[in-house]
Amino acid sequence: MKRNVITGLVLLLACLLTGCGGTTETTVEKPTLCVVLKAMDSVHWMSVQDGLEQAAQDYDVSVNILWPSNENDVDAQNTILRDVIASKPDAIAVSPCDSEQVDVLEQAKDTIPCFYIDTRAEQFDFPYIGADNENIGRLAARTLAQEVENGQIAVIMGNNRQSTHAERLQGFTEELKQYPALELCTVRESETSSYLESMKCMKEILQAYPEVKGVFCTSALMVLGAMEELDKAEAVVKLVGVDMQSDAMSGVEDGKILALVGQNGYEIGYQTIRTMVQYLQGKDIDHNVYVETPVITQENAAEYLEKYLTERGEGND
Amino acid sequence: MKLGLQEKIIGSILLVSMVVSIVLSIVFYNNSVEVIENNYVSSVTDNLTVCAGIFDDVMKETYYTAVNAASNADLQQMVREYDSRTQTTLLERMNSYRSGNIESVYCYLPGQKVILKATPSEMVEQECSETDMQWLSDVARGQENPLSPKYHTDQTELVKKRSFTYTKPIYDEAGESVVGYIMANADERDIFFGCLQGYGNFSDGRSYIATPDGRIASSTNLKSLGQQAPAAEGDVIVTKVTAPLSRYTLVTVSDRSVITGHIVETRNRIFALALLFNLMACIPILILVRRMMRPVKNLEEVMVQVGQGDLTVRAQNYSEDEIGRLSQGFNNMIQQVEDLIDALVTEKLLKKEAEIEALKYQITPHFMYNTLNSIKYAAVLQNADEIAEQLEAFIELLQLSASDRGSFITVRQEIHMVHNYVKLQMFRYANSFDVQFDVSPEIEDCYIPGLLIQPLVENAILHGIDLKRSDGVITVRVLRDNKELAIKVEDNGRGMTAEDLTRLMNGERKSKFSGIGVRNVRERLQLYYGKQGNLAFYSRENHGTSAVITMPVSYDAEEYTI
Repeated sequence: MKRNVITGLVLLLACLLTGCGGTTETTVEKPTLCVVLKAMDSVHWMSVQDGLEQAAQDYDVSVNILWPSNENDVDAQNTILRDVIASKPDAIAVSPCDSEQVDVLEQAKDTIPCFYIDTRAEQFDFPYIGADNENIGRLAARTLAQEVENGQIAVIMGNNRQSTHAERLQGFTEELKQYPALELCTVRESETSSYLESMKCMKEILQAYPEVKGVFCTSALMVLGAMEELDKAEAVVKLVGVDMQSDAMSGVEDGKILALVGQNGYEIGYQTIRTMVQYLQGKDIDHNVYVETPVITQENAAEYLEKYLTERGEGND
Repeated sequence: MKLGLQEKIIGSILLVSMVVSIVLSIVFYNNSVEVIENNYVSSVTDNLTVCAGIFDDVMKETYYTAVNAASNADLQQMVREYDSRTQTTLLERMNSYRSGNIESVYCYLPGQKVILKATPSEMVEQECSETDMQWLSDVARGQENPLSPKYHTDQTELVKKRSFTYTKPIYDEAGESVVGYIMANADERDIFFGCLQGYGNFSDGRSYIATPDGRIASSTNLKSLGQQAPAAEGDVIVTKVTAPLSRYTLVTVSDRSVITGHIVETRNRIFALALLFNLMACIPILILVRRMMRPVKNLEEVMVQVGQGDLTVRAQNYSEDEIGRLSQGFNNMIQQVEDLIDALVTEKLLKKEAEIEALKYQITPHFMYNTLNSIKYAAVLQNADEIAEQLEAFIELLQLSASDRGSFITVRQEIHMVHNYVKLQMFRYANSFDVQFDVSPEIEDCYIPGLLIQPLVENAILHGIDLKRSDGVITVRVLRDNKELAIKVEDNGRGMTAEDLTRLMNGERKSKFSGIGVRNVRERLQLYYGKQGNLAFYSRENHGTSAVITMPVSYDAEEYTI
């Protein structure tokens, strides 16, 4: 009896003592999502990147974010896109630099789930996450019409090959027809959607149409360029821009810009990852995921600016 | 080895407490090890994830350099129209892409069999040998995953440098055939110091970066570079994080003993402490158990004493518990034993006394018979026959009555004794009455208790007949009716009143001597025969009295002996 008890105890101890040991291997593997953006030269794209990274962290996925050196480097973007497809990620989101040159996606459309972020292309009908750009154009027109009762209105748009700018212009033009007193005098296309080119366009407009009352710029960067040119020329023209970014919002707060039709880059980035993850999990997703597009005027600029800075984390700008 | 109850109890307590502490500490140990390992792995994973981020950032930079350089129109043109005049411009152009983590930019022109190199130390054009060409073609082919860099040892340098390279082709104007390759290289040492050494350097683990096909790309140990990463063996924890872009794996191998070593120490300390505390606990346990065992010890001692014959000792009663009740029960038992022994001793003593008494009684009648016999012979010698006859009867009577009282005698013997008795009484009362016997011969051999008839005759002489008149007659009859014996003693005296009769039947005594005989007879009948034996009186005033005994017939002296 006593021997049995002791044997039992020894066995118990042996079991407990040898409970651990051996090689333990921990490998962290997450789904990999690739996002190819147009550039990383503006606050808008940084916000998008920020949202993408935050969402990747929240949904526990890896995200590779790649972009060409500027929004016009279609070849580089296509090279990158080709390489991304060859790396066989779990899903791809792309913001095409040229909405008419996305042939490269042909290789991916059947094997890898593809999404459009921020900008669409007509060629393939992939789910889209971003702002409703036509609506942005309409909102811009309405906002401008409230301030300017009659006269000439000009547009400085970004690269026409990018669907975002084209759609914004379309929405703007259509909505403007509701206001017969307003005349769309000219549409200037800035090839690179850059600050400097926008200044150049603004200068030309002022020269050609000195009576111009309002200008709609299809991006935040361009509205800032236009703003600087107007400042130099000391002309009084109502400016309406697109995108939510702190420098432009400060311009609204100061009254130098009439309004911004907001397009929260962070939200676009975050929703993109969320939608891709949901898709990979086999859930139903909306074909078009539109983010909010609020109109930011002098009255609410401060509020939006604060909200925007908090969302992105302080000192991130 | 024979262990006492006390040792067994102490041993059991210590054993159980040791087992409990050991099991507890082992469970605690295993738990802690698990928690520590999990924490360690998650912390290492976090670190490696940061490292992987840094690594990917460098690789992304290298990749962009290759992509941007290869897609630059000017550079493309220069490559297409390469000759010795454009050489310097091209090299300078290439050098402009060299920044940050980009160690060097190469341009390989397979058509010209030359490689242009923009490195930190030089910008040169180098002729390519066949081996160089082969190697360069291999590098140029790149990886299956174009986002993953090619890891290789630079064959075109004298110093064997290891690099991570992205290669992008430059096509001719028609975009059909490749005219040159742009290679962006990141140096392994830069990566090692910037990435592994900075964050991945854990004092208790070995970290390295592995290529997607499992070779060591970057590590502290330069000799291991390019070798296949060894499979983890032994008691180690391996943590792996794969960089999402480059698909390179960052690995940390740690010895489990380093991570959980101090916990093993803690466990052993707990064992030692458990042992120490248990040994210390021996003292109070010993005291407590001693105290609890005291009544048992006492009981044991008392039992030993009782075993040696001392019945006076008693176990002390300490408590109301099981042992208390045990002691109480033992005490009661000893008490009973003692009482029984006492009773036995007393009985023996009484018996002895009785025997001595009896002996004394035997001596006295013997002396009296001898004396009486001497007187009888004196009377015979002096021719006083009557006196001799009287003495003869008296002696026989004495002999009979002195013999064992309870024994049975035959009817003949009893009648003979009654004869003698009557003879003496008639002498005393000067023949003033007559006694007649009527006994059937066949029942003379029946056994009846001795001195059964004589008291009735005595009663009839003393109380029945009128001694002043000389016509008193007493008749003794012994009859048999089937199985029943009837003894009838009749007189023709004055009889008794109903009250006298009742009193006599109940055995009440008139004076000291009277009535003893009758009561004695009835009691003996009852004792020997129960309901079968009976004594009855019938009387009427002035018409005499008759006493009737009824009892079973018996020819066996022993049949009714008690």
